[in-house]
Amino acid sequence: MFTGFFYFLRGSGFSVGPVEWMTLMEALDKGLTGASLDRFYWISRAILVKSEAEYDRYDQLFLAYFREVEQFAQVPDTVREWLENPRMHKTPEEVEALPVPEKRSLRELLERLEWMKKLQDEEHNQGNFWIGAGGKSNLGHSAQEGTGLRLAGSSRNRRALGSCGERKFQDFRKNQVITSRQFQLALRQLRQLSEQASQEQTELDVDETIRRTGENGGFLKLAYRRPRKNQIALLLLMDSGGTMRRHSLLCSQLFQAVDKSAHFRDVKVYYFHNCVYDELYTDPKCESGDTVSTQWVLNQYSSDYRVLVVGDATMSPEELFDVGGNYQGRFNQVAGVEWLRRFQKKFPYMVWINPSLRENMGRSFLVETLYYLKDMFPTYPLTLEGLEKAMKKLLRGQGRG
Amino acid sequence: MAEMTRQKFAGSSTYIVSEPLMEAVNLSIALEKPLLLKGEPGTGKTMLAQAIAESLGKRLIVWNIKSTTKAQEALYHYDTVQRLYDSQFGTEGVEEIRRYIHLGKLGEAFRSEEQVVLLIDEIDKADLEFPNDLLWELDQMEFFIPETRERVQARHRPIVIITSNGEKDLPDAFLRRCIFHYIEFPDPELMEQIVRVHFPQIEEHLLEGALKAFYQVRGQKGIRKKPATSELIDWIRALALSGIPEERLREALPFAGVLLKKKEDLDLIREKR
Repeated sequence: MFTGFFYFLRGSGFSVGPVEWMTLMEALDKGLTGASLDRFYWISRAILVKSEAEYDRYDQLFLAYFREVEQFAQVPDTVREWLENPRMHKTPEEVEALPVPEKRSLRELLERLEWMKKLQDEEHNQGNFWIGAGGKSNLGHSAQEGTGLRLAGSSRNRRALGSCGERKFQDFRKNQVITSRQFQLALRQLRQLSEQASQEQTELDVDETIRRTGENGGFLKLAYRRPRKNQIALLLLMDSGGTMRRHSLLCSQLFQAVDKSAHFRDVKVYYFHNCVYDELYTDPKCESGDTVSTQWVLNQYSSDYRVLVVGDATMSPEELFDVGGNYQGRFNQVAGVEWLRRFQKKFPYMVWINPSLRENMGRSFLVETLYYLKDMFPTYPLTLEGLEKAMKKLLRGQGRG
Repeated sequence: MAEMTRQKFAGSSTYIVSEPLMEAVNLSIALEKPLLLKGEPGTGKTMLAQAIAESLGKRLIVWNIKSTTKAQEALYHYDTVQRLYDSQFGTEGVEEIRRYIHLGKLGEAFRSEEQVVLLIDEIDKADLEFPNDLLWELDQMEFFIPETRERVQARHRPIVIITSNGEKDLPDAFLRRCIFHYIEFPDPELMEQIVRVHFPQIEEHLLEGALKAFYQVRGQKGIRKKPATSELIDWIRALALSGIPEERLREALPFAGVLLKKKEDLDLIREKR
């Protein structure tokens, strides 16, 4: 039944590997769960679930699977009748004298119950073997927690299932921390190390030390140098227009990855709506007020900034090619495509990441701009592989392929 | 590791532990796997390690992680510069490399004559690759010092507690080896127990009023930094010292600055009142 749970979890898309599963089996073998479903729930959760964002899903799957177990633990009506209204025939002393049955794990108890249900055909109370009440059997009425399985009476085993049903971890699922780790690793390729004059000299320079020590007649003379720092600065331009909404999860993963990357010399992020016009937004909502002039951005940053444009490049042709094509914001004096050319001219390191290239799309009139811009800029899909290629391109720059 | 009677953790006189957390701690001790703790700041992640060490009578070794921490630091440090200097002046014992090898926190925990509790605090502060660099050492509980050709093996597997504030995602390979527990924020019932541990003499109505106001503030929409247990304890201490009557507690929220650390939050609460 436990292997069934493993495949049930995996089948439901819950990522559990054999390593965690074997750990859980080890815990069961060591008897850490006892025969309590509560403890089995806590312990299995601690081993199998690696993030609070997954707690809610695990609770639901646990509930779905072990509700069946609870049903499985249901006994035929006749047996239940015996348990609820037992006819006792032994004295308390006689019961006390019965040997306590061997302690069994939850797994063993459930297996035992299965064949007991098939074999037992009469009432067996105050005993220590058959399903019964008032005795020491580990299958019976209000069996003690940790030693047996309650088949009737108040059951504390229901607690685990009950608390799963409360769904108190649901909140974590909503604002689930997006795993931008892989994107971050891709961004790491974008580094170019060199010394910076403002840094203190803290690294031992071995070659220089040897040279100076030699000159010093063999007496040690240490030489230090400045640690090398990444010289790459990043300028991120993100489309936050309406058609981008369906890519918002991926884009926010990418944004978080950039935001968390501490290895750049500088990171600047601006937003635009469909295309770059006279102004860029400092906020993804793209509301007037939070803007800077695009010309200012072009002047402000030196040409060694790496420019990463993220956008689906899907718009009607006039939005790209016409003066005044900006139908959402202020009338633009310069066509969008001209702004993009100015960026391209100033920044030799510039790539375009397009999230909609992941999908197969037919040629509609909106796609015309996509193909145009794809010819204009080195363009990559917003996938892990695409991002890695884009980073390599950003490092090398134009020209050398 | 022949202790047949495995020690069990059940909280301590100053640390109240919830049942699932207790199970997770004992599971991690029994299976000899690191326990990874996450949770809101102020839910006692760091204190748990102290409580475990205290209640099991073991020494606690704390390794505080910073953004610049490297995995190597936990193992050992070879003081080459000192050795070079010493060799200049013919200092005695300079040919013995061992003298210039200094063990880090992990090395110290491995070398200890008794089992220790090792707290790796705020692992998410370090570099992305950092947890991966510790995999082998935490798994095998040993490392090799090439300079002295020495293998440092754990005499007793330390009880390893790792905390994270979730600033960075941890690598899968690392997570697979850990027992994970998310410390939920205590419900009022558990919180009452926790407060009583700190203030055994507390007046009933003060406790009740303070808890009510506290959960009200926490439940307030738009609060940026929710007050946690440690803020509540400080607040109750301030209230008890000042002797403010309980009626005033609800209407005025005295010493709100103890509960709320951000100016925006203070303004928000004042507005609502």
